Amino acid sequence: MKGKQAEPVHGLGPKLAPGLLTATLALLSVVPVGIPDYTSVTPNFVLMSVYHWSIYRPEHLPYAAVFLIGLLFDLLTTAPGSVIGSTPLLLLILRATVIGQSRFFVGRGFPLIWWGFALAVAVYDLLIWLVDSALSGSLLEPRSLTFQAVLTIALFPLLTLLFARVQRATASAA
Amino acid sequence: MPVKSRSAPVSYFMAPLRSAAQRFAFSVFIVISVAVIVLGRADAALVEKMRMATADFVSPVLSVLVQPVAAVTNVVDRVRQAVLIYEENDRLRSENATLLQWQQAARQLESENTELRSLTNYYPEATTWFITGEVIGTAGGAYSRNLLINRGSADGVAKGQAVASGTGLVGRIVEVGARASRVLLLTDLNSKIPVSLEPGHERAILAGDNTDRPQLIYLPAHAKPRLGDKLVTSGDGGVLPPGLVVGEVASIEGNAVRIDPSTDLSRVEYLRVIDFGLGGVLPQNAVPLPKQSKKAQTEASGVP
Repeated sequence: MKGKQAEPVHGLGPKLAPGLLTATLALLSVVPVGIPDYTSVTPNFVLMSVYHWSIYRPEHLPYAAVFLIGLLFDLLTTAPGSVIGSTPLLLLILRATVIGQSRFFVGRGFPLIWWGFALAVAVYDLLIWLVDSALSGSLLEPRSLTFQAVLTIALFPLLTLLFARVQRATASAA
Repeated sequence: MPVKSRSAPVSYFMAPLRSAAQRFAFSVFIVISVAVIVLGRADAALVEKMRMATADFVSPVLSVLVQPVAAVTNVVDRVRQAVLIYEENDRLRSENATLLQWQQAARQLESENTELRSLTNYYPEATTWFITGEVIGTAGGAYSRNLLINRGSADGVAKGQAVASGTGLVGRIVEVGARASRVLLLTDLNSKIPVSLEPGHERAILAGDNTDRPQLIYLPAHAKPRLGDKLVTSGDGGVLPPGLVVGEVASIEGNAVRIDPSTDLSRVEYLRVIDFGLGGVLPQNAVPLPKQSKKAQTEASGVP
């Protein structure tokens, strides 16, 4: 199974897998876990998933799915007074950027993909910080967001294992 | 190597037509996202409806997802309790002794109270009502402090009701769906709660700023807060009742007085939503009204 080029994927299940997984991760990021201060530093699982599938199977996580999942995430996490729509916007840009750089990722090893992810998280969180600061009218304290970014980057390899597993399972199911 | 790019990105080989369609989809959804942002700023009520519809829709899923996590947390707690059982026992014994004294004091006060009420022809305040809910969601962001609970208007939950844990006020209901509601924690940037600083009854506002310790603002200049001073709700504004425990003064730096909430907000599992039958200053038509009792409705409309 290794070394095959662009494995064909048939059936509805495998095609929906990336979207369903990403949506589940969006839900899981709001489940209370009882770890002190976890809420404010919950890793951005959705970002990881969108990044991964945009590299490996972009056709199964189309813009429409990215938009809907981003909107779901915003609707779940925001309270009155905070902005909604910024997550789908940023995720759409992420998908487009990753696809635009696909030449760069093809056949490269994981370290490079991880490095690309770190870069994506940095830019993503910087934008989030700017937007939220602008909306609240003051420079927000960047500490928890920085910590969240570090945690997101650190946990990416672990989630990649999960994504790769799903990817393999759905490919061989064809 | 966990991942190898086995399937080369399809976009690389994509037919020009497909790629054009993709670019079109990208532009369309970017425009929609921007529209959502603008609309969200302009029409808060619509966004609120969307938010609570989403919460209603996913609340059964979240309720299921919470279970295994809660189970693990419980096991960890059990182990910790087993380790500390002797220490805990000693602490409880001394606490019990203190509580018994308090119980006696409370009984005396109760009988005295009844007697005085009968003297003054006092009629009791609107009866309070409460319902317990489970926390099924926490906002997964750095700049928002709120919770989702699995109780909604179908259970009698309404906007503005107080939300408390066993140890004190946690926040208030800001959005209500049929089966789920959103609780704005008192640490959220948008939370402003009228409070009273205990020994001197100085009125102030407890303002959240997304940190774990909300700040006390508009404290009168003559107030002299000290570390450990208790903070309770003042009842001003008519949304929350007076006397609910909120927390205590944790730090004083110049004019900045910060409060330690009496409840560890990062670890709440079950919460009580309490309706004190207060109309309050919240616009009543801002959210779909829950099935209120006739009494509560007449009271609400009775407030000018």
